[in-house]
Amino acid sequence: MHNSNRRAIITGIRILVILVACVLLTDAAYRSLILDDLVIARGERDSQAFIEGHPRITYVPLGDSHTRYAIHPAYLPGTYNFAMGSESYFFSYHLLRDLVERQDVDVETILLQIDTNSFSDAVARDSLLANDVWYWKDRMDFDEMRAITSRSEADLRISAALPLLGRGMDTVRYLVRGERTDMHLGWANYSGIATPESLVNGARVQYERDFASGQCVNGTSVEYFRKTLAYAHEHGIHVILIKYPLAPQYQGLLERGGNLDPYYDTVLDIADEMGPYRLLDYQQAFDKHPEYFNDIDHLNYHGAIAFTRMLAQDLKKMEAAGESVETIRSGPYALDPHMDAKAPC
Amino acid sequence: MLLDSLPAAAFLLSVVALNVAIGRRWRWALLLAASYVLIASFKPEYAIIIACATLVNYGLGIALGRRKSRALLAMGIAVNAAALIAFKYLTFLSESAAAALRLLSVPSTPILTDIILPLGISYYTFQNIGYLVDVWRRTVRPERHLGIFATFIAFFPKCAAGPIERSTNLLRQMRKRPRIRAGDIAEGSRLLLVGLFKKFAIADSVATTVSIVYSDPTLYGGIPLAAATILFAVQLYFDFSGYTDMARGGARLLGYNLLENFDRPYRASSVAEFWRRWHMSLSTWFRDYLYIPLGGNRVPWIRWAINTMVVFLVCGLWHGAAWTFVAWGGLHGTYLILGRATHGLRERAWTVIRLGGSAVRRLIANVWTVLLVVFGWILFRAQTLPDAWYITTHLGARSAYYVGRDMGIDAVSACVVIVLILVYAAYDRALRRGIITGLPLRVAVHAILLILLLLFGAFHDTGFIYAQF
Repeated sequence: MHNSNRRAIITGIRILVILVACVLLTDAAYRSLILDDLVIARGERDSQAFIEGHPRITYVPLGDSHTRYAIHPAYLPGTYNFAMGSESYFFSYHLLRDLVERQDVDVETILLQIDTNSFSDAVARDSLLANDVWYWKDRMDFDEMRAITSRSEADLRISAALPLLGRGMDTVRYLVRGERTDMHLGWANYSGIATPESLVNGARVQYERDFASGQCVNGTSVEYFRKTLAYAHEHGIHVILIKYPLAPQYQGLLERGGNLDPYYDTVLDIADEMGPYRLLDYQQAFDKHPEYFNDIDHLNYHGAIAFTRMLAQDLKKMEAAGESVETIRSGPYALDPHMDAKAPC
Repeated sequence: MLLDSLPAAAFLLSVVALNVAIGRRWRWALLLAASYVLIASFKPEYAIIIACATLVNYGLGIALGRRKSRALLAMGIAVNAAALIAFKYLTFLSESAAAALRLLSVPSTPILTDIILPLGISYYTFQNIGYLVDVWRRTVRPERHLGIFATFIAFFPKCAAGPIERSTNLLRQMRKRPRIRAGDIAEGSRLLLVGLFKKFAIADSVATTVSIVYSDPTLYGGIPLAAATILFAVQLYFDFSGYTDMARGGARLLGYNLLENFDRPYRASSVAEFWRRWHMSLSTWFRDYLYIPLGGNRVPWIRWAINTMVVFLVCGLWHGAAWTFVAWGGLHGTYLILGRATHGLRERAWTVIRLGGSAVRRLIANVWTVLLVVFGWILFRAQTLPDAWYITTHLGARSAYYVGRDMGIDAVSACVVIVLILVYAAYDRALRRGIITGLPLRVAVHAILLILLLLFGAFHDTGFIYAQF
């Protein structure tokens, strides 16, 4: 071999070694300094600890950030909030299967979110394993991930092995914020209080983004909604569908746009096809309580406590009534004097 | 080469390894096979089309080498142009004709739709025309080795989006069969890293915001529209120059030097200078094979203005079969014509206010040029002319929305993008000034770029903007 070729090979090998070393060192630093402290990793550790002490879980809330910020398990005993941010039914299905099959948990009832964005095409597209392949790799196989994301298996495997890939923005946000998100049994605390102006503006922005050109329902999410329901029925798990509170400003736009009724008709038709379920409708529950919202569709700390107490009460009512009560629709919520919305977290 | 996926990276690495191992004599065969495998991996038809183009131009080149015939050259150019028009513009022409008929109340639907657009056809067609003209001018001798000629046309690092190579550069290198040196591997790897950084860490970080706003601009007011347009200027430069760096890096790893495409275009102080710095392989192609044959600067003013407009309209149309691109080309032609028409007046004004030749003058001229160019990108990015018109007429309108949330960008990510751009600018400056010397410093600087790429890379399958042309 010619000398120049030999030198070229040696240079190439040196560059590859430096490249691999850089990648591995950065990933190790990211795992130990950042990842362990992120909400998803903390939630994972907390849920493991919870599951160890609770082989039977009464209520398993699944859904996206609406659920995560709304259900405070301290006010609904026997519950761990398994909802994650930007969660589509693709994830909910695998979370449920993972609980039942891999973790061997006896799940009594699942609380499934059916909000206006639950089947949103945008949510499904944005969240389909964009970043957290390392987390999902233990919960589903690569073939399914590949089918859902249209990413190559090699790409997915690299993402699973190197959680730092593309996580710079999250890292900066985490470092800038300087404090960890307050969490309790899966519930995350939103401490903001929405102003009337921010609700009006936020409602318009969200509406324009999600519904101005019609309701874009994601086929994959619907497919996995069916799968979730079928799986629950197969395993004797009760199903409760929940509509979470929305700011009235947002509901007004949705109603005027004529989006709500046909949307829910479709969703509930699917649920009907799959088997028995019960429905809790809290969409208008906090119409007179803007102070319970962090923004148009997320409850803050006080909202979460008020909501969970109301939910606990209704679940009790449902249990007492047995199968005869199928739907509870909560009108504008009046603060019960016995409910201390400012209970310590 | 579309090095935005892992399989493509693995492919490049394998070809580089084989290229070093194989003898120089058969290197063309390896590179030709690799190029056709890559092209056919998109669609087998693409490989057939480029093979046909290669055979036709190979024959024409030999014929032109034997006989310096203007008619033969014209035929060669016409054949290449016809192929480009057939694949790239027939659908557009058919749709435009149908739209025109509908305007005259004649019911009409486009006759031709769904014609495939072969990978890189705009690039290799121009490369072929350039080759034929060079042979005709006797700047290069015709290539008699079909394998080397075919490799020159299909060479995979540049087949998707250029640079538009010249026979005086790449074909000559291929004939010489250069040795691969350690310096090629180091420089090629550096270019690849810088290209990936530009593409994934910067261009793709702002791509979502631009897409959100430009997909339906009527939802937005002035500030989001202006911000998205500025971000598009950032995205386009880093996307295309990132692609070029990757293409040049890939070629360098194989022992070849491709043409430069960019020279800090947003530092230009006139639109004419911008075109000497932006997509240089295209702008010099137009200069050498269209503008100068039309008469260049040595024609009366009115003829020059017409020629300039023709060159820029064709340049716009080259970018895409849409009226927005034609309008964009026309706008740049207008900039140049007005620039020359007002040159004397502006010079006198600078002298009167005593700023002739000063740094302040250069700064003002630079800012003004960037504003003109960025304004032009509205036409380049908008999906339709009415969209472009809406954006243009609403740049000053009050926005009903928050600037951040509804555009898919927040203060933190905006700051991060700015920091990444500054990091790249500092790196580029240091490199040009020869500050990054010595192995430890070189390794450290590039390790920082790599870490930033890993952390901030938006590794989605977005594709390259210029690959669609």
